Amino acid sequence: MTTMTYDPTRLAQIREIALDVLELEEDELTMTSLFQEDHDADSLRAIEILARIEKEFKVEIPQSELPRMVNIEAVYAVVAEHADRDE
Amino acid sequence: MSLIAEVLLHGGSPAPDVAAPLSAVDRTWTDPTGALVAEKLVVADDPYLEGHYPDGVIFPGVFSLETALQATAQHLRALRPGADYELTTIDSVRFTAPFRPGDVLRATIEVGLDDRSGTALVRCRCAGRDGADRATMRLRFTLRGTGPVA
Amino acid sequence: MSLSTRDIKAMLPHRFPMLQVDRVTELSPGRHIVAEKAVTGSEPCYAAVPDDAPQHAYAYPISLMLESLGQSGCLLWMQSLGRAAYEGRTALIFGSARGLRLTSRVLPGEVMRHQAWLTAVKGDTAILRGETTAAGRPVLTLESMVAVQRDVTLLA
Repeated sequence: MTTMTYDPTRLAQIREIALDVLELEEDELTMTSLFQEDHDADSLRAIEILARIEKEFKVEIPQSELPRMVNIEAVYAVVAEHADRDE
Repeated sequence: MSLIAEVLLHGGSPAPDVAAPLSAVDRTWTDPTGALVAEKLVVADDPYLEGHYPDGVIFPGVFSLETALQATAQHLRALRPGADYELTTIDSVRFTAPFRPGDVLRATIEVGLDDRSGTALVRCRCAGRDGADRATMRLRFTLRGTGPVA
Repeated sequence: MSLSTRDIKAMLPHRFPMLQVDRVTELSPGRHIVAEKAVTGSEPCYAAVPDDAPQHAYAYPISLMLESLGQSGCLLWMQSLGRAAYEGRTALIFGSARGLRLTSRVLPGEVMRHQAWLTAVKGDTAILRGETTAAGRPVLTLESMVAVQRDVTLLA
C-alpha cells in the first residue's frame, strides 16, 4: 500500500466541506470515520459533498465515484486522482 | 385510546393561536427521557392538502416542520411559562419519506435551553408507525425581541 | 424571461392553496430565478387567528415560506431541464435544507420576493441556495437546499 502525502490545504478544504454538510464538530470527523455508518449520512448528503468538492477544486467527478467516497481519506484520494489528472 | 379514535371523538387539537396552515398536533405527552412526543393523524381533508396534490394527497414535508414548530411552541410554553420564543434558525431539515392520509406522524422533540442567552436548541425526529424517521430537523429559538428577527 | 401563473401551473402539480408562487419575474435558465408570492389575510392559514391576537401572530407561517422558496427553486431547475410542461411521471422532491436564517417575518399585504441560485446539478439531484425579501427588507437566507427527481409511480 502506497503512503499518501496529504496536502494540508486540500485536506483542510475537504474536511471543511464534510463538516459543514454532515453538521459535525471538528473532533467528530476523522480520516477514516465513515460518513454513512458513523455520521448518519444518506445519499443526499453524499451528493452534496460531491457537488461542493467539484466546485471547490474545479474538477468533475462522475457519480460513479460516489460509492468509493466513504470517508475523508477516500474523498482525498478521489480528489487527488481527478484534480491531478486534469493538470 | 388510539389516536384515530381520539381524533374521531374529539376532533383533534384546536388550531394554534398564530397563523398556521393547519393544526399539526393532535396530542402530546412527555416520554421517560423528558422529550416531548407529539402525534398528528394525517387526514386528507386538512387545509391545503387538496392542492398537494389533486391526483393524490401527500402530506407536504414542510408540514412535518409545522408539527415540529407547533409542538415545540407548546413545549417551550410549558418549560418556561410566560417566555415568548421565536424561531431564528433552521440549522437543518431533511425529508426522507412522505406521510400520507391515515399515517400517524409521531414527532419526538428534545429541547436544550440556555437561559443565559435566552436560546433554545431543538432536535426533532418525525417517524411513522414503523418507527423509522421520515423527517428530521434541528432548530434554534430565541426570546422574542432579543434575536435578529425584526 | 418571466413566467405567468399559467406557465407555473403547467410546470408544477401543486394547486390552490398549496401553489405558493404567484409569478416569476426573472429567470436565467441554469442560474437564477426571481419569484414572488403575495401574502393576503384571506388565506386559509389566517382562518383561526383570534381577534385579539398581536401583530406577530399574523407572521406568514415559516413552513409556507420555505415551501414557497422551494417551489421557486424547483421552477428554476425545471426550466433549466427544458421541461416546459409537467409530464406527470417524475416529481421534484424537496429533500433537505440547511442554514435557514430568519431576519424578519412577512405580514398580510406584503409580497415575498424569492431569489434562488442553482449551485450544482448532479444527475437527478440539484443543489440551490436562496434568499427572500419583502418590501426590500431581508426576510431569510438559505445556505443550501437539495431537490431530487423521483419517479412518482414508485411513490404510489
